[in-house]
Amino acid sequence: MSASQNVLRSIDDDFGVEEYESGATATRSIGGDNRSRAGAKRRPAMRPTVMYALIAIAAVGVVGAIQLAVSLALAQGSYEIAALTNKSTQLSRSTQSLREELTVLESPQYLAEQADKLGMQSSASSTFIRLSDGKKIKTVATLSNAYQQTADTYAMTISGNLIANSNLSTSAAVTTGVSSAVGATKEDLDTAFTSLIGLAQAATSDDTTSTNAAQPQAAVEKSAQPPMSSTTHAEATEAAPQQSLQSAENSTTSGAAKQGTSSGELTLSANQMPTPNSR
Amino acid sequence: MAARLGRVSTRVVASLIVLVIVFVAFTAKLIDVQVVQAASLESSAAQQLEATATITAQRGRILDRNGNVLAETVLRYTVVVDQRNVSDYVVSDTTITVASVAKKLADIANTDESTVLASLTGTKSYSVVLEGLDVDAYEKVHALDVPWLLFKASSYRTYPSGAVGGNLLGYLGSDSAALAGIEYAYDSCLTGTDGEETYVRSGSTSNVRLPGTTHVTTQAVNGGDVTLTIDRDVQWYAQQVAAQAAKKVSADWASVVVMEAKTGDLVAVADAPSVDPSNFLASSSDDRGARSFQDSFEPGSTFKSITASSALNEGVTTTKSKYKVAGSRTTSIGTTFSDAFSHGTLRLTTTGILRYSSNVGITMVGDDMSEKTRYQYLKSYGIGEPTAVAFPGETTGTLTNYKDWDAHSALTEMFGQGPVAASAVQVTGVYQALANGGSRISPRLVASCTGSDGTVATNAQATPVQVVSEDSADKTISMLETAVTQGGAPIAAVSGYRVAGKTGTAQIAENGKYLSNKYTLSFVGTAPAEDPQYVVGVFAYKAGEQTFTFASSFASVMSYVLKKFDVTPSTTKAAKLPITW
Repeated sequence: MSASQNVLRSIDDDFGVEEYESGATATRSIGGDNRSRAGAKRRPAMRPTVMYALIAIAAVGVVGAIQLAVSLALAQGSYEIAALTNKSTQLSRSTQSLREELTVLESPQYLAEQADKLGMQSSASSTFIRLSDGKKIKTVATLSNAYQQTADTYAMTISGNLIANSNLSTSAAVTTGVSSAVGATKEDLDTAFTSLIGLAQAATSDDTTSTNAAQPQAAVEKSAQPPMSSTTHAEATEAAPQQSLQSAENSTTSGAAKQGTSSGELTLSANQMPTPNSR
Repeated sequence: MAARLGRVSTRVVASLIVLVIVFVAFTAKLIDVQVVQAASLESSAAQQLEATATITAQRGRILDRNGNVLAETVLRYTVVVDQRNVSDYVVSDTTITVASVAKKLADIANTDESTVLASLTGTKSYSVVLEGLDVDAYEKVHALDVPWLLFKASSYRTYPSGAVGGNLLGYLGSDSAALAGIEYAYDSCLTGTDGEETYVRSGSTSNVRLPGTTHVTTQAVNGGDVTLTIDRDVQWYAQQVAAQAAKKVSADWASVVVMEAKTGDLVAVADAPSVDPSNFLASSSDDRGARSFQDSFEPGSTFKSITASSALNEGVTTTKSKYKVAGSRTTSIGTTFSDAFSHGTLRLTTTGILRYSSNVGITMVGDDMSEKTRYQYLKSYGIGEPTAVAFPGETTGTLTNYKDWDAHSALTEMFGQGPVAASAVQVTGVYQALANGGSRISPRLVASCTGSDGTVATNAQATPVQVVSEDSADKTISMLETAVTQGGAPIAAVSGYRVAGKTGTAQIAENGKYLSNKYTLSFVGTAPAEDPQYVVGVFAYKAGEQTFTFASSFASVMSYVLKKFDVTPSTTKAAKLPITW
């Protein structure tokens, strides 16, 4: 068989038809293909084999299965995203709740009350030390001598906290006839505070030498001073000085004055007003 | 064979025709749905299933100078029901009654059970059961797993330190609109821009969001943080002292102002009574503002420092200039004013006049300056104009033009009565200028606004104004120090530090006459006098005549401030200036 016949067979195989009988015709057909087919014996109509049908069905099945798998994966992913989003939201709520609790615990009012409960007082004196040579600059008392001497008469004794903080209230605020609620009660805060005190004590026992080490110019030694404690002034028995000025009388003769307020002014004529006195 | 083929062809043709008709019909319908009615159908579908929601931008925080939170926005939850859906329900063969749910809700919210039950009963489609629930309470209610309870989250402004700085911070109304204080003045910094998102609902009558369908169309931009110059701890202490002082001297109100001498930054501005912004309705409307900025009063003797420093600066007096001071003085129009204490003629120096706070004496010191000159010094000290803070509702005080002064008020002005009135912050600002070598820096309350993207817009300090020379200012401080050390107000002294300051006991004009037994008490001073770091002013309005009691509140605050900021104690002694001759 010539090389040209081999080529033709190969082509026929590709079309799935039987071999041509005439080698001469086939040989001619290399030069004119249409003419050679017309001259060939008519063959039965081509039919797809079962194999092809199975392959096509399988392909469709595979595509369908892949699509289903992808859909399921996407749906599952959506649910996972939703679950994680919910988890994130929940954690955000917890963070907010804890931060709120912390900021209230840090409030000066709460610290003052707790310090008061623990019996803490402001330090009576502070000593200033120069870091460069460790020399003591000065020890200063909290209150001046004059202040202490007049304390029994004039002391501005402050006991505990005087400044309101509704966040420390256990009762729920009422708005528009419907109650609102705050979950963290005073007891919760007290418990949290006690825990923090315990942690602070543990931390202090581990590191007691670093106090004020980083002060740039002068270190301050403040004995037993709470972060925010009340001020209690010492009492004394001596009378206040300058009583003569205190008991001075005012003169009330005619004069003029004007009073300014945020909303307006009150203008007075010279003859309407007693003379102002000022010290 | 041909007929058979023909019959087959007919069937095929018929089938083809049917197929074509069906195909054409489907195609026509498809075009109708996809093209002709597309817009209306899409719109209808969107209306039925797609929903739009606003992403609320979070309002920014207000912080103190150390970053401590004074105001922030958190989420709170509202529980609502459609009353028509409220009924008993069964869980694991156990019937849960509406009444039992009401009791549980009331317990969690610490409120009245009958009120909760009433909100569950009826035919309203929207009934608020509980509102303002914090996270813990919300999670407890959510855990009850009641099928007909719905939850709504909303922003809530909280002030963790309560009334600390409350008068400055201001507050928000029920509609979250800023109504006062920093909240109002810096609303544009604090307010963010809301965003928008769309999502698909589970049904036309349901609002359950389908997972994975949320699409953010516009991102929300949160508001910025406002950082104040205030120190929270000093502010609290100043409020404590103000509250105690007001009570001690039976005053209507009291204020304490703490200012940095070298920058004009306000460290504390305390008012008593104070307001808790979280519960501002509990305070009287008069107490909700910041009196330190908004109320003015005749300041009295604290203004003698203005007259003395002006006279020094004009060269018409020295610290040792000698004056024969009578007990009273009669003006050219026949009116008379006197010193607060009876005395014959005293031989006082300018320093002595400040030490004894002589009204007659200070008018002798200032007499050698023209009215116009004195008026201009008052203006330079910031009297009659608002501070750089521009606090909402801030008073300018009063400074009547010198051309309108009569012979009486032209003299009383020199000791802070008559044609002058100032706020607590303005009066403290006068002493800041003296403490800063005569250079007045109008006070600053807000340091910066930090946007949600981290951009910091700094609020620059005001341009300094050289009111008097450094020499004149320093000499005035020395005289004021002598006033404290040589018996003027020993109770104002602070152990370990040199203090310079001045008392004030001003009369109060009301209904055309001065009150006989109510005064504006004050003490304004600075320390350490050799290198002033802080200026403190304490004020009490309509108080009893207890100036020296009240001056102790200055010592309390100044002592706290100096130690709080680790100011090195004074190591030198005050110069002893003669007070008599």
